[in-house]
Amino acid sequence: MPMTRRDYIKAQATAAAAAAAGIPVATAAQPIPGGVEALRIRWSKAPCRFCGTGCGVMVGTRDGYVVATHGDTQAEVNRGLNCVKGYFLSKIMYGEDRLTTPLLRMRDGVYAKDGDFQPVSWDEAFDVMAAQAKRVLAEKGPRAVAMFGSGQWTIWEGYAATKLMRAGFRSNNLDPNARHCMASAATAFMRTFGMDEPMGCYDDFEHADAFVLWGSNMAEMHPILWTRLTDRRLGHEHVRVAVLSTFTHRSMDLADTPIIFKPGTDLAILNYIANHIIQTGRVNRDFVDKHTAFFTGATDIGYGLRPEHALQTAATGAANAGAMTPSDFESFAAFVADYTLERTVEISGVDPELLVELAELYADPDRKVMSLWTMGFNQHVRGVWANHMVYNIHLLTGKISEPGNSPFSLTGQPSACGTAREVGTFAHRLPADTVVTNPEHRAHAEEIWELPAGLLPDWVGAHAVEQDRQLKDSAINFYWIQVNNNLQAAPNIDQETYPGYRNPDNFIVVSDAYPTVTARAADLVLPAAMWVEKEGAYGNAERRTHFWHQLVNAPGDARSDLWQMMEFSKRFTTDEVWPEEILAAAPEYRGKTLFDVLFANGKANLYPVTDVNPDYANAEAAAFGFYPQKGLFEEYAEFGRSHGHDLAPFDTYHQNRGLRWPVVDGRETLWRYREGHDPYVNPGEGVSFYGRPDGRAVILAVPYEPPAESPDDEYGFWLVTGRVLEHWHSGSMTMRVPELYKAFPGAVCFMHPEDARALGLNRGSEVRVISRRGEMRSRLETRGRNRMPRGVIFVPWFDASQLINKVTLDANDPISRQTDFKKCAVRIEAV
Amino acid sequence: MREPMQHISSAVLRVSPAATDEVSGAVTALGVEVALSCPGRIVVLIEGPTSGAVGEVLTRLALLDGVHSACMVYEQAEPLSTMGDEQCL
Repeated sequence: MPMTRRDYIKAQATAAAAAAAGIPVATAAQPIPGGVEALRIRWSKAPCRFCGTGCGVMVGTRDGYVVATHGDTQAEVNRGLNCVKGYFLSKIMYGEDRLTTPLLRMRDGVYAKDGDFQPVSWDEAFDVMAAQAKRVLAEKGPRAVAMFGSGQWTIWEGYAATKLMRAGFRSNNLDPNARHCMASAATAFMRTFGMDEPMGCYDDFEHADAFVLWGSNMAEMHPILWTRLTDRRLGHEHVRVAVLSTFTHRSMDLADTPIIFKPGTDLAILNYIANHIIQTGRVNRDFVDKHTAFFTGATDIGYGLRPEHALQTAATGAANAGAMTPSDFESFAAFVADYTLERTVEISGVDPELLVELAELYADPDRKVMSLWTMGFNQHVRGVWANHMVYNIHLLTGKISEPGNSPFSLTGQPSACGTAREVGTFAHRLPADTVVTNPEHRAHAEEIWELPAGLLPDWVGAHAVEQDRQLKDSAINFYWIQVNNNLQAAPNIDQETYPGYRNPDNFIVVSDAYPTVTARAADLVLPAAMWVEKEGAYGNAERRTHFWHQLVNAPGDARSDLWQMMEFSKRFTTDEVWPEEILAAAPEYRGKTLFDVLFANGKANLYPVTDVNPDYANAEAAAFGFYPQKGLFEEYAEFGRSHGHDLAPFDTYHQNRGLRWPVVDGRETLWRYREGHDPYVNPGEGVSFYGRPDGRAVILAVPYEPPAESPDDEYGFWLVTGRVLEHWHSGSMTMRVPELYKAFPGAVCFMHPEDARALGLNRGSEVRVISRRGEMRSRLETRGRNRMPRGVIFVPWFDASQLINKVTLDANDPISRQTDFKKCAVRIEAV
Repeated sequence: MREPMQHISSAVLRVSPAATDEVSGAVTALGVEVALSCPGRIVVLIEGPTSGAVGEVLTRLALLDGVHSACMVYEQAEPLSTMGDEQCL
């Protein structure tokens, strides 16, 4: 029987899905000889550019367009599956309002802060931008320039940014939007293990006997990992799932132990579990004695608000929020003994039977437990503590660093780990877990970068929220934002973010693919290439580094962030930006451009264009005459090799679906700190937390402390913000998919129906959400996927026309400086 | 202006095993083709004029009662005008 093209594609699609699902394939659905190649599509691998899961996709291109995608069956992460966002990967590049030329605010042909956007050439854009940067550097020095990047930067883009800012402009005012996402997780990793990122990996999903979700809605936010978890739960009768949240969401459908707690009281629940483990005699004393060290944390540490805020002046421990004092097991046991079941029920509002059920999952020595968390833990004024407390439980029971026993921090961006954390784009960090405040670390970076001794600044730069405050206060005057939409993402934007962007003293540059609210508030907008329009590399949440080739060209004059930074660096000489004493001691650097010393240093430009795979384009190699991605990656890898962060040679990653570091002798590491799995653990050690000098992980005693702001008579509701399945973060890509926009066109305010009735409101009513900072309008939703408890509302933040961050509070964790977007007080009024 | 395209996509739904038939019925009621199923898993085929239209359908499937997850596996876009052509193998 003749087969139409449509039949053929359907058969192909069915066969691929059946294989991925493990369903026996019917004869009619078997793949047709010749496979998809028969349709003249060119297939190449790439990681998805949305969340931090790091799924592999096969991208089909024809005539310069992406025409097909499917889950990469060779990718271990997703095994042929992709979540709904996979549908948008090609679509996101082809939005009608894609930026294709630089745009500068101008009046009468010259730059004017109050002018209108006019198209300009790259030359003119960089001329004006360089003049502004030089003005600010001359007037105020390096502390007045800043850059805000992202966990969506490729590895070499983040690396180029850290070189340009720290070594070029001598400023540590470099921070990523990952600060809003998982700074609390990263900080707690460093404090507990002396090394960042999870010890386990996704293989834990197939080994665990219980899963505990702490404030994470994986069903909507990490659907592929949720599928792996679902498979494990539905396929194994003994497996249990506990889900903790401040409201009922889709992930609760699978929960054996669904727990709704009062906002912020997860801290009390965590200490109760530790107490339960101790009181019932289930501490793994052998593990604890050999591999842990007890500390007590500073308390009453404030809320990261401006220093003059009453909550800050009243906080006795704010000056040294991160302090940890050595302690012992007995002191820890006495500390958590206060968190009895009765007291924890009182604080959290949770049914006591559910709390015991939850605690038993951890306490039972025969049950392997995987704990999972994302924003609920991290966007928390005590986020670092929450991370510590979950490690406490895993360490007390020895349930760590082995298959199925895994405290696992999920991430929200594709390279939050690979770029923001590993490369070191935080205001205090250098590559591979080194820091700007350590003289040896700075000297090591200067050596690898072949730069004069003493060049790198030793001060911790401004973190995300502090950058906004300093822009408003005119302390930072030159600001470059890449790959993120911070004016929508930041907290308290009307009071603390927008004023800084339009401050007449400041020059704001935004590199983006689309005219986001951030771009529209800028003075200069630079059009950016995205995803497979450039060669890239990401690092996912399980330490997997994975690469892709440039598959299509960027539209118009759009250029990658890497090109933008490298090209911009040509406009500065060392004499203009480095101090005389540095140049006097190292005169060979005089008169050179920053491009010469940072990117043509004999290392970053070591590899010729001929090393680029001839089957693929590489716009940056063509522009600069060498292979910058390879040179920058190999230079960066020097930081981690033989230091527990070993990366494989560059070319290897183009051949495989990614490898989990440390990669030693060609072998990746699935479970760190465990003998037999981690090459850095010596024979006979069993377990070694070698990131810390004593080889021991930290168990920290810290209490429950209340949020910065709680409901009161005037502002009677908790506001929780977050995401929905359809839209990714600020929606700058997914809101440009017309049908998707139609499906979920605007944010809504989820509320309990009885709360709505009490206010005289109905489903669909237009309401004002009002806080002490500002207000926004939305429509009430009392049904649907999110079911709220009384007194709590949820508003997603993807919608640029309903900016919920006008309402949120810029309180943040005083240790990690990550904002708490999950807890502030609002009132609701009818419009 | 690019010519009208037809997108064809397959997806796997993870469902509660006992609810497989019920979910299959709900999927069909949405006008979506059930290609294969076994207890706990359903393979569906979604067609539409744009990637977004297909994605929107998948989102609706993901939110059906009894569905724990809905994952895309394959998508291909071809000019609508060639869909009826006989495929030479």
